[in-house]
Amino acid sequence: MTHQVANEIVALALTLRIAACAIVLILPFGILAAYGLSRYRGPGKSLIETLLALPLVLPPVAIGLILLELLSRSTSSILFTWKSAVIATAAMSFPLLVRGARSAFDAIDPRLADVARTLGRGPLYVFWRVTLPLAWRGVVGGLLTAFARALGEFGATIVVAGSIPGETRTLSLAIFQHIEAGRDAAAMRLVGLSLACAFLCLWSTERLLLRSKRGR
Amino acid sequence: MIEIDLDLALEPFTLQVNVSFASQATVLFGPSGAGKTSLLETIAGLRPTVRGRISLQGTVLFDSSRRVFLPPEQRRIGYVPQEAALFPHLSVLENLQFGVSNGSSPLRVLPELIDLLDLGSLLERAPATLSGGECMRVALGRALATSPRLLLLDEPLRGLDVERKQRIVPYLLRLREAGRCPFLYVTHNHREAILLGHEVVLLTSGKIAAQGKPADLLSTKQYSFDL
Repeated sequence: MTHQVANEIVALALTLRIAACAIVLILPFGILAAYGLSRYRGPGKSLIETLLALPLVLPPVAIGLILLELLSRSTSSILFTWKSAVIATAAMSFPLLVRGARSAFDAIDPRLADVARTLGRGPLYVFWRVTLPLAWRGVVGGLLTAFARALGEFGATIVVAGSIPGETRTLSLAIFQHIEAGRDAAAMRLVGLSLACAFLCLWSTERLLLRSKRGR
Repeated sequence: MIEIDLDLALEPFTLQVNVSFASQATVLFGPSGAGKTSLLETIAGLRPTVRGRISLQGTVLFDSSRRVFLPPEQRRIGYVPQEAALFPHLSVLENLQFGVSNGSSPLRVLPELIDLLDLGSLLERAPATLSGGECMRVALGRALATSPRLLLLDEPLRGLDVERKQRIVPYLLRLREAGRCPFLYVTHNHREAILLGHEVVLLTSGKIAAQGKPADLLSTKQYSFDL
């Protein structure tokens, strides 16, 4: 029993670590993509948006297979290590971050950035001092949603990272393993853990967005 | 002295402007949808323009034939958009200081401006707690704090009730008499144009229709849009 609990703690810690790494990895790109999409008015806008949203609706296994092809071509193989789990998780969570952050950027009056420029400030300064501070709640909201998604990642991860205990076996993979082996009680315990984590993330997101609506 | 020669593609027409003015207070007058705001944004450098030339006191801000395009932060043109557009996450003082960099001379201008616009009691307030007229005064101060060479005002009295308008007008007149920097004032309001302008440029359906003294130009009923 204590052995089992230790395994569960390992799986939980691994899940949190992989999700956290994935989020840190996508944060700068996600903010850039969200801001770019919010500002971009040129041709191909809907095409770009569709491409970015694809991971939301494609079977995660399909994304996993695409990643497997891409990663197996690179020289130093990271396949079936926790790093590949991070990449799979990052790919799956990215659209959620972009969506959340983007609606926050969309909600900002574009004239604020315009006025800031006429006050003698360059685009980077304006982004840091005006755009990002006004969008931070939405960005963090998107981040938490993406993190919640990352915690539950299964399909893409199992293809590129397998299910190696202590290396790539996250909560969802461990749940699957328990079900396969007929250990329903253990599986349910992990389901409870996942539920708690996901609930915390989504609940904080809702609270945050609610407050930003009131704040306006 | 500002010289403008532009073709500006707007929906549903192309704005063709060839005008220069040198007054302390120029009013850009015309009906809604004549392209007044677009012209201001173009002068400020906030709108991509295909063809034309803009120069301000001898400095070329934009020249399509020589591929010159000064970004807005280098034009030193103050811009007060409609409804002020104050930074909602900053206090009044922080709004005023936004364009003022440490160590540069404009820092000395700020107390003077706070005095001129009666902003002293508002400094700690958040923009959301200000009235429309107070917002406009702060926006004026924010733009002037960077010592611009030209101030663009986009219908600063729009949306204010008569009483608030009457409270703001003296500040605008004070600004004009102080000779701090020339301004280009957009409005479709007859009375404002006569009251505030030394010179009026009349913009209708994408073209400059006339230019001259407000009393001469606007006394003819032909050009009244708001009465």
